[in-house]
Amino acid sequence: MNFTDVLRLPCPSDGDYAALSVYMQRLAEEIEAKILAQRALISDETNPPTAIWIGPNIAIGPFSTASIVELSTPGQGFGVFTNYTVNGNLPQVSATKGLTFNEAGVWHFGFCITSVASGAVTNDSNRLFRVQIAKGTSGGTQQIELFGRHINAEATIATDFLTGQAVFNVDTETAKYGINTVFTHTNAASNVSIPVNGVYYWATRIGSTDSIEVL
Amino acid sequence: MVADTSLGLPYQQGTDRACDAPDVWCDFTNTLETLLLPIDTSTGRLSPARPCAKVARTTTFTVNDATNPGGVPIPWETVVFDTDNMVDLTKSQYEITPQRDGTYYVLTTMSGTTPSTVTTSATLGVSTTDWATNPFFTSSTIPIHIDQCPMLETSAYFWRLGTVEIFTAATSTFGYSTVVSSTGSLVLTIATIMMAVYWVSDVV
Repeated sequence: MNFTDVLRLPCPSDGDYAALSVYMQRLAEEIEAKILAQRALISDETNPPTAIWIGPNIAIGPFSTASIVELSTPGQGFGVFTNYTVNGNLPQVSATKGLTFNEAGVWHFGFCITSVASGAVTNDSNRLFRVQIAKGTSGGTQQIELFGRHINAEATIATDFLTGQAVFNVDTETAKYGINTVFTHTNAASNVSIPVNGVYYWATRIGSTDSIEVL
Repeated sequence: MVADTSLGLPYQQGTDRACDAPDVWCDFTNTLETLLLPIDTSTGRLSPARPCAKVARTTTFTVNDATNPGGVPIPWETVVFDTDNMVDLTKSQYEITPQRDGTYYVLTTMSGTTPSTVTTSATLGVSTTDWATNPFFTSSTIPIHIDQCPMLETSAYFWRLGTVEIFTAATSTFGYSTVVSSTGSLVLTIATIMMAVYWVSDVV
């Protein structure tokens, strides 16, 4: 039996004629395994785990300056576009651990949120949306990333747009990761609502944190 | 008579002798290997890992516009992850330097506070300036290439700049760094600041 130099694909030598069928089967199986492995890599490259959430399907609020609103997707009628599942379920954005990420690696997460004052706007009253990527540990919640957007509303504009992004690492304990989301405001003149489909989240996996081996 | 496919894979035909098999077979596997290896090389550029790195600073850092009107580069403290040896804080505490040419997505985020009395705000920038020359520069001393986010409100305490940049070793001798600046009297206290970079595609 001979083998190619790199991939070790088998081919028969002069004394192997009687075993040609066996060798052909082995070659076929090894080619298939190699192609399947390459397909998996190409799939990772062209179709990484990605999710987009749009909601809620019913407006949230109006709520006052005293309220803290969690804009998580479970139970708030979010539509989900995704190419992956988490333990058989659609991925969620939630403070509850283990609902969002299906695989370890570097992830890129972002949000676009619209808020609307239900009446008059207090000039420079802030709108604040914060996101915490957190991991549950035996010692409590470990903050992986804290980011958000803080804007001051203009008196003449009732609608505000908040956006943010983060790139972070999720380790192999994906079931311990969650996303805390908090929206608050200081608009004393009236209350604020999150309109129907006013929240847009997205997440995509960039790749593993393995060191590059092939350039 | 041995024939070949359009990609050069040889195969026997009905007129060939059985004893031709070993040569044809080995030619076939050798040719197949030369066809498969470039696919490995191509997929290996993105999977399982692509060049990406993230650096952070969590120790309070003060930017005083009065003394540094051109802005201040951020000296990073920790490497959160690095798949392609892009960060060497002992060599340069300011930069993430790509090892592979291409288009990169660069994201820098910052949280901090400004005194309630200030009337201006800070901006975040991504630069490819060699800060080792003069970390606390004025724009007249060294050329800078910088991509900045719009100024946010004075009271803002989350800043972000996400941008796509092209890196080639032939034109860039320095990697990506984050610079914080403003246009007026401002003292900004940075609580946490991070920069993440990941490779998107080749530039050929």
